Amino acid sequence: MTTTVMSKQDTLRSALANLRAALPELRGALIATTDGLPITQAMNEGADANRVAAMAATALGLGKRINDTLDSGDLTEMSISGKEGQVYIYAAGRKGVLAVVAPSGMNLGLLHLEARDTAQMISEVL
Amino acid sequence: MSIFGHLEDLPFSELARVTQTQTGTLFLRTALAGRSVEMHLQTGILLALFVDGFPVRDEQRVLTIINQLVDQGSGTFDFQSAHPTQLLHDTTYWLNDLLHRAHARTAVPEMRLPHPETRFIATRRPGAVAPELQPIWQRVEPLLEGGASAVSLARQLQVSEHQARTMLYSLRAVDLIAPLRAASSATTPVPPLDSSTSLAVPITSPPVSTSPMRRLLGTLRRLTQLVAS
Amino acid sequence: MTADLMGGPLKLVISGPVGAGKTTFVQTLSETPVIATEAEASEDIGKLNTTVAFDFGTLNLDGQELHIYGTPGQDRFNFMWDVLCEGALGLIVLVAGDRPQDFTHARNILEYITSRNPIPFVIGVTHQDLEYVWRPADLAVYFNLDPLQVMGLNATEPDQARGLLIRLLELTLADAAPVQTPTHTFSLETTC
Repeated sequence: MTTTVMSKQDTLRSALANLRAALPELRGALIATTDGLPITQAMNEGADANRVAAMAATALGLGKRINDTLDSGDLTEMSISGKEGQVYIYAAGRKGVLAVVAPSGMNLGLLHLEARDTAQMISEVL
Repeated sequence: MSIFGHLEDLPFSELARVTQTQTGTLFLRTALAGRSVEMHLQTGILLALFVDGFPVRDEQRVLTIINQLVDQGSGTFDFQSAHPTQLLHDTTYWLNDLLHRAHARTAVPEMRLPHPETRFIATRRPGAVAPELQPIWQRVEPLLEGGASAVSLARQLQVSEHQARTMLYSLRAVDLIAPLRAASSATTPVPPLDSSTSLAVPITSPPVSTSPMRRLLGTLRRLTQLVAS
Repeated sequence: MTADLMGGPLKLVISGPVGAGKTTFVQTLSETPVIATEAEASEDIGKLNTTVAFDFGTLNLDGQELHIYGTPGQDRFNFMWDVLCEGALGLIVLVAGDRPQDFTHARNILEYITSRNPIPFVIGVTHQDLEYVWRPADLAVYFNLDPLQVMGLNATEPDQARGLLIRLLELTLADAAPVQTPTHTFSLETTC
């Protein structure tokens, strides 16, 4: 019996695919480096993955700094909410960022459950 | 040595502009498919040209070399200042004139193209537009009023954004256009090098009130203990 | 003479390509410890970390507060350049004089920012302590700027860092009040 070894890229890609399958209403999901480069993306058409990757890294960097200053421990996640949608940004290990773009009205409990699992998986790969 | 680099990063047309105010020898180590090029320059005049050590004097051949440098020049360059008496005096060509007659045919690398949203306006540079640039100039010039970016040109001329950026790049390379500073009015672009402006550089009207800045300036000067020059 | 009230803090933005010395410059100029938002660089940029949001430092001179913001250098963070330049008194674009491969990028940054923001600026050419380094006068030709607008400095030297800020203020104020030409100009050009 042969075992197929998945590359890091494949693992990350399937992690995002699973996340989108579990949460079909998502507008997009993306994995980036903490310095703003996209690694893998599953964004809706028309989205600029490069832009989102950079912004997610900036937001996470700022969030980490605020957290440090207020002695809240390691940053786990942050959210940016608008009237018609939200972005959730999760730290994925030391070097990764998971950004999840959602419409309003999503089941947040389920979203966080799935997303945090995905972030954990990403941190093990990176 | 203080003028050095690679032609891939600083293309020959721009390098030539930088050397306009200098006198000395420009050495391009492997500029033409491995062949070296040496130029003796005196404030914008090409006094001598050597390819692999062999002198080139004939105007057509000189023009061809310049063309090739603009088109495909590669490798390192460095410029050594020298006294005019130390230079050879074989020829007398205005480098600027040679450059305006040369034109780049190869595609410009993306990183050298201006940002899609940088806006440009016409400069007040006098003189004729090179024939190769006429078609581009005729299409772009009417749209420059108030500043035109690659994004706006692409829309108005029905070309791709990349094409628009390339058009703007080639017009800027011969000083027909210059970037618009949001601060200055549309009729005062960045002054060309030969204008005699002293301290009256149109930097901007500061959006911040000036008295806090004057105070800051005064305090900084005291702190740094200047000697008035 | 009108009675001037101490207004709010003035704001200064430092931008330029990666490796120009922006974070160093902010640290040199700042009196307070600089708040940096850095992340580990995933690309080879010659150093371990890179700014992803901004560097923040402050200077208080005779009661006038100055807030100094260093921007990230990579193009992908250009949305930060706009955000940070809003309401700023001026922009300093730093470029490493020993890195001609970055000159185009520095020019693109300058043009991007200044075509969208009405902001005064000067260029600072860093690493002037090196043997092989471009001089400010030649970079002024490259940028097609008045030579007064391009100054050399070592970003680690406080006097030189302040000198660049002084030049920015002098040029800005000279333009604002053309009748009052400065009687002296601060110059820290190193002679080669």
